[in-house]
This record gives sequence, C-alpha cells and structure tokens, in this order.
Amino acid sequence: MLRRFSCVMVAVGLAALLAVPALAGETITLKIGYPAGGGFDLSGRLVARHLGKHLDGNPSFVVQNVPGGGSLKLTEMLQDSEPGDGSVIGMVGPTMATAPLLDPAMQQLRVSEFRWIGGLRNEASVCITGRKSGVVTVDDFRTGDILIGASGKASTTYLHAAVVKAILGARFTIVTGFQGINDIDAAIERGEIAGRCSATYSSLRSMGLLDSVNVILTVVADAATDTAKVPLLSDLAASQRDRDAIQAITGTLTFHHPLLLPSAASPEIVATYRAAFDRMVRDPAFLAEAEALKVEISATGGARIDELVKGYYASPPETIARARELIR
Amino acid sequence: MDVITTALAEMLEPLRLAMLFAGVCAGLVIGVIPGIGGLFGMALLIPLSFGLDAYSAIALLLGMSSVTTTSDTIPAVLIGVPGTVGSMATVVDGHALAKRNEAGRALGAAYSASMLGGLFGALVLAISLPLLKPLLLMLRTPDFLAITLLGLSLVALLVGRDPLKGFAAAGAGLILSFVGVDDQTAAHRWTFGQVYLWDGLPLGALFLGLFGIPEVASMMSRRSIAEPGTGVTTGVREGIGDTLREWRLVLQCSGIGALLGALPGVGLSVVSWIAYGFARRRRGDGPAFGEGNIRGVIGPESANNATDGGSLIPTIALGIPGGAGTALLLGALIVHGIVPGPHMLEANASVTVAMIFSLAMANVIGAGLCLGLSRPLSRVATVGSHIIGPIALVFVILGAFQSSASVQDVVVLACFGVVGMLMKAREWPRPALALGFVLGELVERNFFLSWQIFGWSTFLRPSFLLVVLLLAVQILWHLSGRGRRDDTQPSPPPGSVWNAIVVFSIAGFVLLTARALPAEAALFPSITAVFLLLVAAAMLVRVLIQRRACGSGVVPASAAADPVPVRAGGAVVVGIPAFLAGLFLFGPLLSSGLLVAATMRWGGESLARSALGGAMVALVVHLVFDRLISTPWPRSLLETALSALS
Repeated sequence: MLRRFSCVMVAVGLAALLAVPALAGETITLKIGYPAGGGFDLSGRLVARHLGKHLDGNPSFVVQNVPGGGSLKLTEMLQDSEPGDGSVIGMVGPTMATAPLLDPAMQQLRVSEFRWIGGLRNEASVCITGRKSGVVTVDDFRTGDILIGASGKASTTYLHAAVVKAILGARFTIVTGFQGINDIDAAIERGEIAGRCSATYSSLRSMGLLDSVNVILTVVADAATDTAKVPLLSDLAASQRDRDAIQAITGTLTFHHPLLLPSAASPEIVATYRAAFDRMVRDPAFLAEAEALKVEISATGGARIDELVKGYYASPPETIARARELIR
Repeated sequence: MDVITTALAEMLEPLRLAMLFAGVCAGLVIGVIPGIGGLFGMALLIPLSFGLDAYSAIALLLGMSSVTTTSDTIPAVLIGVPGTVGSMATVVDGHALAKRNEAGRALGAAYSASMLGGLFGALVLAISLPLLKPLLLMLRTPDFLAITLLGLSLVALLVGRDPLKGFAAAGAGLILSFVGVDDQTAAHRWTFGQVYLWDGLPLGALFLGLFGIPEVASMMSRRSIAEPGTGVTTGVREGIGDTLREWRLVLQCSGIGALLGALPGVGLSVVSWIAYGFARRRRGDGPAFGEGNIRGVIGPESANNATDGGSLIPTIALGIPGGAGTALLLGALIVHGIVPGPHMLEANASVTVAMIFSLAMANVIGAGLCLGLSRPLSRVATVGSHIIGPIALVFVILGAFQSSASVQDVVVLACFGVVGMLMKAREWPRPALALGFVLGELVERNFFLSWQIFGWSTFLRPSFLLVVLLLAVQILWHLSGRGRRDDTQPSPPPGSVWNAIVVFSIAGFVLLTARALPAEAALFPSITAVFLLLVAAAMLVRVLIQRRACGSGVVPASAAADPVPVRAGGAVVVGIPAFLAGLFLFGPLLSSGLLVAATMRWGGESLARSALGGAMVALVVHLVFDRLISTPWPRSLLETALSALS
C-alpha cells in the first residue's frame, strides 16, 4: 500500500514539475517561417543568441522553425493567432509586405497591422553569369539567346529575372524548376545555363566568388555595388513609372530578414522590441558573430520599414498595374 | 602522405575524439526519435560548434550526422516505426523479423550493414574526390532524369504478389507527390485552399501514417511484438554473419547510396527505397520479402549510411552542397575560414582527410554502441503491447507533428494511418506507393528542366537511351517468364471489382480536376491517371476472366487476406483525435502521460505502475520535445487558464 502511494506521489510530483516550466513563459520564442538550414534560419538563430541581452530581464530565446508557403503560414499566424504579450516574435520573408499589392490572391494579409521590429540586412541583389558563358556585359545579357536559371515561379530568382527581362527587353529564356540556388549554381558550373538573377552581392564577396562569376547588373543596390560601379537596372528603365514598379517589386530586400511581432502586440511592446533591436545591431559582440557567419548586417529600424511599406501602398494604380505586368 | 599523417594526428587529439564521441551520442539519440533527423541535429549543434576549432567542429557535426541512420533502425525494427526517413524501407522486413522473434538478428544485421555502408561511403569519398569533379561536371540534367526513371522502374520489384495492385499503388504515390504549388506554373495542385499543402504532403507524417500506424494497430492486437523467452535477444551474431554472407549486396547497395547521395535532390528516403527495391531482386534463402527477409534489412541499411559520404562529394569538390544538411555543414565550415571548393584538395587537404576520418570513425563507434545495446534493446519486443503500444503511438503522433508543427500534420497522419491499415489488410504493397511518392517530384522536375534546356535532344542523350534499353530488356525478360522472382506466386490472388472501382475513381478524379490546371502542371498527373485507368481496366478484365473460370470451377477458392485488426485499428484511429483533443485541453505532457497510463491500466497494470509509466513518458516527452527540440505546441486551454489566473 505504502509502495503504491509513494509511486503515485512520485508520478504526481513529476507531472507537477514538468508542468511548471512549460507554462511559466519565461522564455521568448522566435519563430522562423522557413525550414532549418537556410539563410533565414542562420540569421534567426543569430538573433536568438543576442536579442535577449538587450531586453529587460535578459530572457532566453528558443527558436522554432514554422515553414510553409514561403513564410505565408507564419505571417498569417502572427497576424491572426499568436499572442501579443511579447512572448513570441517571428522572422518572415520581406516580400510578405508587398504580397497583397502584387498578388490579388493575397488579400487576406493586413499589412498595415504588421508590427515590424526591424530588418537585419540590405540585400544587394545582382544578376550573374558563369565565366564559361561568354556573357560579360549588359548588352550580351540583353541580346544573347541564353538560359537563366530560377527555382519556382513565386521565388525571387524568377521574379527578378522576369523584371530584368521585361525592362531590358532581353531575349533570354528563364528556366524554372530548380530546387534552389545551389542547384542553379551547379547547372551554371556544368555550363547548362548561363546565369541567374537574385544573387546576393555580399555573399559573393564574402565567399571570394566575385572573380569566378561575371556580375552583370544590379537589381537592388547597396554601397558596395555602387562602389563596384555595377550597372543599375533602374538606370536602364525607360520611364519613372517603370522605376517605381521595379521599386515596388524588389524594394523589400532593403529590409531583408525582418523580425516582427504578432499584430496583437501593444505599441509599448513594439517600442521595447524596436529599442532592443537597435541596441543589438550596434553591439560589437553581435556584429563580430555575424561577421564570422558571413551575415552582412545593414539594419533598418521598424519605424523606417513602416514608412517604406506605406510608400509602396501609396503608389498610383498604374504603377501597381505595371509591377503586376512585369512579373506576370 | 604528410597531409594524411597531419590530419590523423590532429583528429586523434583527446578533445577532438571526445567531440566525435559526443556527436555520435547526439546523433544516436536524434536517430531514435521519430520525426526528426540529421538535418535537425545539424541546426541544433552548429551554434555549439562555433566555439570549437575547425577539426573539433567537423568531428562533432559529422559524428552526429553520420549515425542518425544507424540508430533509426531501433524503433523501425522493434516497433515498426521508422526513426528517420532513412529507415522507412527497413521497417518492411526488419519489423517482420522482430515479430518472428528475430529482433536481435535484424538489429545485428542492420548495425553491421550500416557500419560497412558508412565505411564504404567514406572510402568512395576518399578515392573519388579527385576523379568525381570532372564526372559531376560532365553529367547533364537529362542524365539525372534517366537515373530517376531507372529508380522508378524498380517499382516492378516492389509490386508484391499482385502486380496490378502494385502498379496502382505506385501510381497513387506519384499522384500524391504532385500535390502542392507547381514550380513550373505556380498553379495550385490539389491544395484545397490550404497553405499547409503548398509545399506538398509532408514526407514524415505521411510515412509515419502509412507504416507506423498499422504496425501500432497490429501490435495492440497481440500480447507483445514477439513471444517472451524465445530467443529474441539472441541472434545478434547471426545477424552480423548474415551481413558478411551478403557482402555483395552490402557493396552494391553502399555503391547505390554513395552515388545517389552525390546527385542533386536525391535524399535519404529515395536512396533507401531504391536500395530496398534492388535487394528484392533476389530472395536468397530467407522467407518472402515483407515477411522478414534479412536482405530487406541489409540493403537499405548499408545504402543509407553510405549516402553521407556521397553527399559530401559535391560539397567538397565544387563547394555546392548536395542537400540541406550539407548546406548547413558548409555554413559551419565557412565560419571556421574553410571555403569548400578546389582548395579542399590542395591547401585544405588535411581538413578533407579529417572529414573522411570523422565519417569512418563515427560509423564504427555508432555501430559499436548500438551493437552493445542491442541485446537489452531487443527485449522491448517482449514487453506487453498495452505498455509499448501507447508509447509508440505517442511518439508517432509527436513525430508526425514535427513535420511542420501543424495540427494538419496529425490529420495527415490519421488519414494515411487508415489508408495504411486498409492497404496492409487488403495486401496492397505500400513500398510501391512509397517509391512513387519519393520519386514523382524528382522525375517531373528533372523532365521539365531537361525539356527547357535540351528540348527534344533530352531523349537522345546516351544515358536516356541506355535506360530505355535497360527497361525494354527488363520488360522482355519478364514477358518471356524468365524474370519471374521466386517470391511471387505464379498466379495472382483473385481480384475484386472494388479494387478496380477504387483505382478508376482516383484516376477519374485526377483527370477531371486536372482539366482546370495549366497544361504543364497537368501533364504528369494526367499521364499517371491514364496509366491508372489502364491498370483499373486490366483489373476489371481479370475479375471477369476469373469469374468465368470460377463458373467452370478452374480457379481455387480465394485465400483469405490478412485479417484486419478491426478493434485495435479502430482504437488507434480513435486514439489520434483523442490525443489531439488532449493536446488542446491539457497540453502535450499531460495528454501523453494520460494516454499511456490509461492504456496500461486498461491492460491490467496496477494504478501505481500505470501512473508511473505515464509520468515517465511525460518526462521523456518533455525532455525531448520541449527541452531538446522546443516544439511549437498549440496553446492549450489549461495553459491559457493558468496564465489568466497568474
């Protein structure tokens, strides 16, 4: 009898012990809208190791990958169901900010309610070709009967190539269906295709690959592409309307790897997180680890993202119509 | 030579050996837990590797990733639930061996095959690095298409007793692989407005349903997996002997694993099913495949451990990772200032040697540890099913939940659990469906890429012509009756008109709904549906012929199919939504504990033992899924109420 009682007590005690840490909410969860292993995952886990140091009480962070629909699933969760008490933050694709603008099927997203904390990177994006392709200049790129690789039709590899093709009036064919950037690069290496767009300039530089590819054209610029004097797509556009349309499609990459709070979060919580983010991106320890990981930090604050996004939605209807036409 | 000695000296330092051992231990634990695998382990361990030097980081990460496919056999053999996608094919014959009281033999064979496969993979990596770069650069997308088509042709070896049912199952697998947003057209194929289905059906939840749930149901309908005291724990040595006797199969399947691992997009699930199909070419002196043939364990187990070595080839030689796991490893190497590519054979050659060494050593240590544990572990097969059954069910459900941390994962698990039980009871070969599912997307992707890049000349590539020739020879061989395998019966079992109706309905649904899709998105589903229509027609014709023959008394009475474990199956299917309801009401820990405790009590255990069992399971669930993985559970009512109170 005594044995039975002690067994029950041990079981109840264990159950009680187990319940406590799970319910107390002493940690903050950073949800990443992509699977483990990609650029978002790398940046997200970097943030999880540092952001807590800049919040009151130095809470610890746990990372959860919540992949689905190119981060649409997590965006909808943050908009509709995640708690706004600051216990959950998310990292989604920046294109979620303009998804309803460019795709009529995405009207369920209420972007004006998004609570941006900040974006980690200004992702300068370029079109590149392989050394063996013989495509070296913008003119070669425009006039050559070449193949440009892309993954799915909803990916930036396709969208940027489609914009470049339409703006330049280029003759190249976009080959879709590669499983990811690594697959496309392997096909370029084998000489099956000439190149790709949506290549990250900072990655090419940090990996020492600038000498092994031809950088043809900048789609989204930063200081480094300006210094390298890579031709800029918007300089080649025929009208201001086209330039605005390019900006609406590609501009979100200026706040790449963005963090946001659930839409239910109060203005005070948003302000707290924005201040912590601003402190984190200036913290030498954070910057040193980012440099070791080859993650180039060029942060944009949450308030600035709000302004940028408002700007896209204030575009005249003909600009939006042109943007939709460019990526059709 | 100096490079090798330098690298070995570096790796044999105590700290690095300790890291290798720690990595192996972590990998073994991760492998045992259904639903998570090496990729997850990599994401978990990489931050820890930043503080280490490059050699220790390699030892830790490769030590972990090389052995998840060794220990994933433990749940596959003992409870019929694959630990990672790499051991799904092992379940078919491995668990059947456990039911025949030969768990020890199956584990012994699996570990030794894993070890030899892993060593072979490391050897292939070592020898082929200087040679494979030019070969990898010579291959073109149509060659990948040819290889995937050759893989798909192995369906012919997985069809079981009734080829028509096998081909129908493979076709259904192909159709299921097309669900999701199509890359060519961005069209939504059978996503039914669910964002969840945009990325396709989750492999983990689908396979845990198809293979895990029926095994849990079958386990619940017996007293235990194997009869107690009948030599379950012995036979480890016999298993090792089996592997050594089947050395040709080990070498062949390791070769398949290493070579396929080097190709883009070919994951563990593809490799293990192809190796299983390859092993089934010859029955050997064991029982029929699916009933506990040791070749069905040795083949996939030697292949999946060799895959790691293969997948490192493009990473090291070209600096382009072959899969998500190697992409993470690449990122970790870059942190340590090692940039993969041509330098790996020149300036960084000692790092390459260290990687090969880590791979080889990890496989030896991993298999050694598992062999040491196999005797006590195989006792699990004799534990009462009222204890092991609910525990297996909890881990299957929680494992499926790891696919995308959605309630829909559990819905997919339950649906395919029912499909799996029906297929098992009605003798529809699930391996054929599995191979169709894992290869469908690859075949379609490689076809469209080849078509866009090469056009008609896709079909004139030597590799493509060779595969067509091989397939033609295979078909002629079978038609001439010489290729009939010894595990197939000369005459298939009598068919039912309902089988034809089911296949016809699937094909009809796909053809009708595909009309709304763009032509490119509809092409492969439509071809598959037409193939299914032909299979359905053949089934119908066969039924008519058999009925006529039956009328004249030629055909013997039909052999009874496996009895459906109706009661246990029903209990398991009801158990899933019950657990889900518990998850929403009380959270994962209480519902896991309650499910186990209630089933133990119902099975006749004392209240105290049941409560203790439930608490132990809740503790393990907490340690693994909360502390180790930090699973994003849905917020339970209890949690909401408690946080409102505080």
